Amino acid sequence: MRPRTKIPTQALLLGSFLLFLLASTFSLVAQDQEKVELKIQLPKPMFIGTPRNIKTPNLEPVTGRPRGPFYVPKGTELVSLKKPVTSSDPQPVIGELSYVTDGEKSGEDGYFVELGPGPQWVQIDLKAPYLIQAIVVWHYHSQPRVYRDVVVQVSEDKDFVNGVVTLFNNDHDNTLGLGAGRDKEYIETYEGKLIDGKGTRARYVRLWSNGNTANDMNHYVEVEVYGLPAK
Amino acid sequence: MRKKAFAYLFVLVLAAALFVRLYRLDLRPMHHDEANQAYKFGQLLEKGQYRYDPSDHHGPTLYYFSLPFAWLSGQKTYAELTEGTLRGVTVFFGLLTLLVLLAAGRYLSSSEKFWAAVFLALSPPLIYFNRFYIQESLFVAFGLAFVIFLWRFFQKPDYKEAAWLGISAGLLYATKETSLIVLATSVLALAVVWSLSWAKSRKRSSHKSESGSSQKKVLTKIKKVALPLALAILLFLAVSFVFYSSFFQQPQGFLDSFRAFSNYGQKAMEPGWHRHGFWYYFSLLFYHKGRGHSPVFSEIPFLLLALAGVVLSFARMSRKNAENFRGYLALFSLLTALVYSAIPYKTPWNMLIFYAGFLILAGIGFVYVLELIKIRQAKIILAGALFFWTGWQAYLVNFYFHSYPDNPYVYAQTSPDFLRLVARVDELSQVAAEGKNMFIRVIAPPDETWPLPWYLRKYTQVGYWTSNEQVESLEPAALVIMSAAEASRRSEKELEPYVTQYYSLRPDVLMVLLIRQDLWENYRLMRIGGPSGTNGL
Repeated sequence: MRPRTKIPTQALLLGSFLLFLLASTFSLVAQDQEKVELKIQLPKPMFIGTPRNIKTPNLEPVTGRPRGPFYVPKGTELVSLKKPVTSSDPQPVIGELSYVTDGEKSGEDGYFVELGPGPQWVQIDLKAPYLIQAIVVWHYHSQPRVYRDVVVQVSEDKDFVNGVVTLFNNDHDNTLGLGAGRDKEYIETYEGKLIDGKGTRARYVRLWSNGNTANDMNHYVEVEVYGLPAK
Repeated sequence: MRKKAFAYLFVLVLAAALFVRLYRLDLRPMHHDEANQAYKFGQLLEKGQYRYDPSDHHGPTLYYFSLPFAWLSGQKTYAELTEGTLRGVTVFFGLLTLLVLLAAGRYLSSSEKFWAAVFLALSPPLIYFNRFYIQESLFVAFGLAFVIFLWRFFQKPDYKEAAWLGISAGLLYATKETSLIVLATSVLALAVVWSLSWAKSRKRSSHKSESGSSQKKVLTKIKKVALPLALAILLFLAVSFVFYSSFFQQPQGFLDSFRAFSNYGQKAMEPGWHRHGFWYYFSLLFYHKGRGHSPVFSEIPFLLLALAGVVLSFARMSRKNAENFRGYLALFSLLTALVYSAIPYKTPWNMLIFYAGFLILAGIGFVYVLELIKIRQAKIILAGALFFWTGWQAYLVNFYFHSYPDNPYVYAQTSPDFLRLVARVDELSQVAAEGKNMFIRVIAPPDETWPLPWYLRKYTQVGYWTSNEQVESLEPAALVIMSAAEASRRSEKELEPYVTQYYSLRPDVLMVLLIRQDLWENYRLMRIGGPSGTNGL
């Protein structure tokens, strides 16, 4: 029987460590070599026959949630009813400018005024300065539509040159040239769009829009301005 | 009308038909169905692959006949295809419909053929659907060809006529499985007209003829017809087999086309949201007025002339069978209109086959009316008024209200506003680091997805999910296009990293475009050239 050669424990430990290091390096190199571009298989579109042809003016609010309460100071009242309205399009294609403040908010035909294509505005003269608390706008709500570049400004200057305050602006890319806005686009519903007036003092309210998702025209069923008399 | 004059005038009509069909062919946004068909054709063009689907999309002739148009345009991939190339195919078959009239030969007078060609060439609904990349234009061309060749064959049952009959029947069947209706109504019309003229001639000659010789005559005739008829049937089967089997690659497809009958039968009787009343087609043609200040759309002058044509054709039924083509055509058109109206499933393009028949009858009626009028100036005024009316209507239907629901032929049409979404995506891709390789998610049910795959065909990283549940996180997509309903189900926190914009897919169907904030800022800087937040506040 040959005598066993005794290997020192330190040498064994060192050898094992070196072997481990070598194996790890090889494994890492191997992994590195096997790396491939991750290709995500994106799902393909699915087919369906001719879709539904919708023409009925039944509004189905897409978001579905009713608007929550909005609080205003005591004494706030509707100050725009029957007040005079002017527009960038003085001769509307359909309806009359007076419809904007006539108090009728029905979504049916005969209750809206249609202004020409492209950027257009309507302006309400409240006949006196008010501390404006809220403005509610109904463009057209018998069909889910989105009006583009909606900008609501108030001022004490009827020409909107001085002291103009913008209360709402969703013209994201500054198409109107009034400055790019950050407010969100919204779908028209029977509730109208409520805009916070922030108690801004103003006599005139000007509302811009630039066509809508259904056509290039601009529409208003009603605009309501709520405020407190300015002292 | 002299032969030479007829030839010149006919060429003029063809040129006019071509012009009104080709003018601004890409004006109307691609319809859902057109985009479906384009996608299917794209697969055939790129990979040479086509497999007949018995559940939808009809027969394959549209795709195979589109190939030469793509080759001639130098387009080799789906991404390279254009609306002009695709709709050029259906425009071509719209012209072929006019040329098919010439096959009526001596069975219609030159004047009748000329006026029929004029009415077909300038008909607003025909122009509209000839500019529509679906099977209907091919169906009308092959359908009318079959109707005419069927008549010709039974007048002269030789091998040449049999070949025309078999080929036209095969092409018709390979275009739409529902061609069975046309095959059945034309054979029925032929049988009725033949029986009527036979009864008339029998009544006249009953006292002279002997039953024995009459039976012999019938037997001889059957023998004479049998072989050419067999050839026609053989050609019908061969042509339809070639197409449905994807040129022998998928023989199963041919059998599947017969299996499709039950599917289409069920669809016809349980049409879901395509259910319309019996008078639907006639209400579209007769009188239609949209909302507000929309003009009136009407085909009344042509319907009245067609009625005159029908009455005249029946009134002039003769014991000589060869003279009864007009009666046969009238009966075919009426029967087809009746069957299509009785089927609850209706879409406006389905009326084209019988309305084309009515327009030919209107040509017959108009020639008769012109014959009645003795004053030359009155004839000119009448023809001028018809030209004016149809020209005005064709303009309204095809170039002004091309995509708006006021137009009676607009059905589930993509809104022009949708092209704004496409343009916005294109602009954004120009500022995105990945360009056309940017990651786009589409989350919408299939009926709110199309025609997006057509408009996004040049983008390489587009994924389509049918509902929110399939997508855990919207990020890292640069753009997300969602149906408004799907968007409303995402939390505000998830939508926060995106700028939201709305676009109309169809009336009452809104899509939401979500643009990643960093991409939007890049776009804003490029477009506005200023820092963000300059909102005039």
